[in-house]
Amino acid sequence: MTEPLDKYLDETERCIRCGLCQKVCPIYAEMGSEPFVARGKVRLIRELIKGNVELSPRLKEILALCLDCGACVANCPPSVHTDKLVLEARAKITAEHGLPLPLAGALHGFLPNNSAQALVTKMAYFYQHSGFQKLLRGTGLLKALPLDLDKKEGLMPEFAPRTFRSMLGELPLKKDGKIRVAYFLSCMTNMVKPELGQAVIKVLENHGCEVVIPAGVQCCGTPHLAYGDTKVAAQLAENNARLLLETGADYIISDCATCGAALKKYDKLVPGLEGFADKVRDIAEFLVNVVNLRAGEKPVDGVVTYHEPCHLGRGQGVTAAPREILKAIPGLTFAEMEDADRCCGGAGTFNVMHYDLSMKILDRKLDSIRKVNPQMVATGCPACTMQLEHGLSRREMPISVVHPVELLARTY
Amino acid sequence: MLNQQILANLTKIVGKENVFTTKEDLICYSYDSTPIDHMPDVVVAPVKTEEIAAIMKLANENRIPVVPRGGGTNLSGGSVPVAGGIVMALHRMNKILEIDTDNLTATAQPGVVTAAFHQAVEKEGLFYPPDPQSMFMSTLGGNVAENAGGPRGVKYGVTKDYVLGLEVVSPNGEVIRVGGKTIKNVSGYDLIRLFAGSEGTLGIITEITFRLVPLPEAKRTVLALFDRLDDAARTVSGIIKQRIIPTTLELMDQKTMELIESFKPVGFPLDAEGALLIEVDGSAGEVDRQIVIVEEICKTSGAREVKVAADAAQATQLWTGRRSAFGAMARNALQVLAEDATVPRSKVPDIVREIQRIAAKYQLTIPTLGHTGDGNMHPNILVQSNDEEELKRVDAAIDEIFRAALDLGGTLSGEHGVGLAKQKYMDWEFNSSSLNMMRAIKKAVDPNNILNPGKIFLRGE
Repeated sequence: MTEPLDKYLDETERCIRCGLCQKVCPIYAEMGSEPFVARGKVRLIRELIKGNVELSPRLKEILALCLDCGACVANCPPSVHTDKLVLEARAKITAEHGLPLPLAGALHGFLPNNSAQALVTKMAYFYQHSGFQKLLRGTGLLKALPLDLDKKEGLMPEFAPRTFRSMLGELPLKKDGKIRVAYFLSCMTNMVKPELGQAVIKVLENHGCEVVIPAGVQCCGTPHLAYGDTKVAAQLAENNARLLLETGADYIISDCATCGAALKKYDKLVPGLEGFADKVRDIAEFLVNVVNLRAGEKPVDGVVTYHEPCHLGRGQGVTAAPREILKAIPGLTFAEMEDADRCCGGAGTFNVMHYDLSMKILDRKLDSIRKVNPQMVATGCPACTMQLEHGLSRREMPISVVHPVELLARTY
Repeated sequence: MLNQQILANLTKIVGKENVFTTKEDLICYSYDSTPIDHMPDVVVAPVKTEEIAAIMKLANENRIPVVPRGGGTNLSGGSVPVAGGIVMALHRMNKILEIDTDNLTATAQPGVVTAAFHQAVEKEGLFYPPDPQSMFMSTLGGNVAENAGGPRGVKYGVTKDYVLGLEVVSPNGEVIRVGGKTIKNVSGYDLIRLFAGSEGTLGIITEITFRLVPLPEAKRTVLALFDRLDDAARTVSGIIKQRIIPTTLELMDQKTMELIESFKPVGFPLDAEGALLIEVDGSAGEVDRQIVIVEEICKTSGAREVKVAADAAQATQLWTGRRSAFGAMARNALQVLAEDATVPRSKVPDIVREIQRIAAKYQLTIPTLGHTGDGNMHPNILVQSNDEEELKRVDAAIDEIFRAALDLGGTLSGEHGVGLAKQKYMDWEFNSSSLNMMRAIKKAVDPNNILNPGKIFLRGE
């Protein structure tokens, strides 16, 4: 029987070993050794397909250290799709060895389960606001836990008092508009940033859109793909696509770089979804390229810089639109930072699984931010937002992280 | 060859976390940028000179081959461990130790990435000119060992021209120090020149002191387009003859421009047979003076159009096009064999004609570009398949290109080194007395032939 990975042999052989990936790989910049750069990984996956190496612990370790940021692909002369190769190899690992238990729980039980998300949000909010968190931090109890949880606990975002999903019934959504758009509710907007959801609706309605929000959508499936669980990812994709299409919307809008990138690939994951991806737009892309971007008149003061999420810039090719939004906001000064498109090291759960390495990658981003000295960092990805907020507070830099659309919403 | 005792000793020297023996790790150190590969037995990553000296003593006593490795971007097979043994990965020795703004020198460890070094010294208003195409990945140690060049070689020379001092660990584990911060130094034999370009066969470079120059105040770029490639090539000699030494003087043929335009278009024409991309640098007044003369020479040598980049952005765009040439070629072939036959500058038109003749004779696509201002050509042979018949034609064409370069008074390699790729041609360039002297040096320095064995000379020699 041919393995699904086998069909990628040609892709691995297109690598000309020039090593240009060394220039851009954030993991290699910290590790410096060949197994951790695209050239090495591509070679190892080639040998895996050829049967010269096995799914050994060392191979798993090497393949785990990839942010899926796509910088290598963008800079590769023959455009070898290392990101795709790594995900396919991880799928092989999961297919043959299964998922580690805690991960399986998160990926199968929690993330796709909307009522579990609601419960956890409540519990987390209670934990963060009841003084229990302070107690745990103060007593050093966290330090006693394994896996340097005391440091990682700081990665946990501030949860909202209730999920955005639970508020949907109460939202005064306008029932008319020139364009009907379906807004895909991301897990992070749902649990952590309901105010982002409100800003998105406000901005869309200000652009003459009728917004519909199917409440039954689940996780976009990216975490599952990252850990090689193709099967559950496809189930999620199928359900989400069906609900979004049933709205009869002209466009499907995402405010999350990662969800948007995933939605745009649903047709590759589920048969019969041809044309689905053509309807999907990131919110910034939609505002600038589809409806004529109009900012309101209320000024937003301050200096803002922009962190380009990997899944928005390289992932979806959306680079100018978020910056256009920031430049259109009255009163705001936009300042570009160095290496704005470099991965912040968040990468979904990479920062939890590989905390120290992730923090080194983040430090470079914080250095770039510091040089600009802004009051705000704008970014269109909740995972980046969490990572940046964690880093900024760790280094005591008084800078807030916002979605470009949140700033835009303040102008109306 | 490697028993448990030796592995235990290596572990004692560099620590467990810096000795790699899994098949996965070994595979990752089995190749460089050429298609050649061979597995090492172990990879070690030392962090200081003393560790390297101890490893070399151990290797020498046990006759274990050692191959030093930087970024692994060689184009001649230099860091492929063809005899197995130890690959010494130098990425942990990546510190810039000092930038001396009084003496205009900088001292660095071998694992510093070349482009990072550029950035660091340029921040101080200083300039380290060598700019190999791989500078974003290559390391200073590798650059010295391979004596790397680059486009700026025309005006500024190559890596060896900037090395003032070296610390090197010899094959038997002795630490050697030669040179220093002085500009003049004629004490004893010039071992610096011996180690520069020794391709890792004579010692492990552990510290380098470079000479720096002031960062030029201004630079400008010209693109000259020619209907006939021959005119473009003749213009190269013409400019040099006028006593103008540009910073870079790059020639591109029609095929190269075609590939660039189909990959990352920057506005090169598709109907010009050749183009010259010329940069001059210096003081602002001097740059303006030179650019007028260069423009004039191009026009009188038959250029159909000469464009002077109006600003830095336009210049950057042109250079981005040039730099994407290799990528453009890589997309259009299974393998790109980048050769670097080099001729005296006056012979540039002849070697360009020869390469075209050879490409036609063997029905191969050989887009040619090069740092032609210093006679360094880069015929890039696009290999389309693993078909034996095609590979035979490729081999024959490479043979003929080297023969042509040597017949014109040139050399096998301007900047990539001999390594494995060109060893079979060594007796075309050197008579037996010359080769014997090189072998005698190797034997005297490395009597057990443990350092990067099998390179430069044919095996068994």
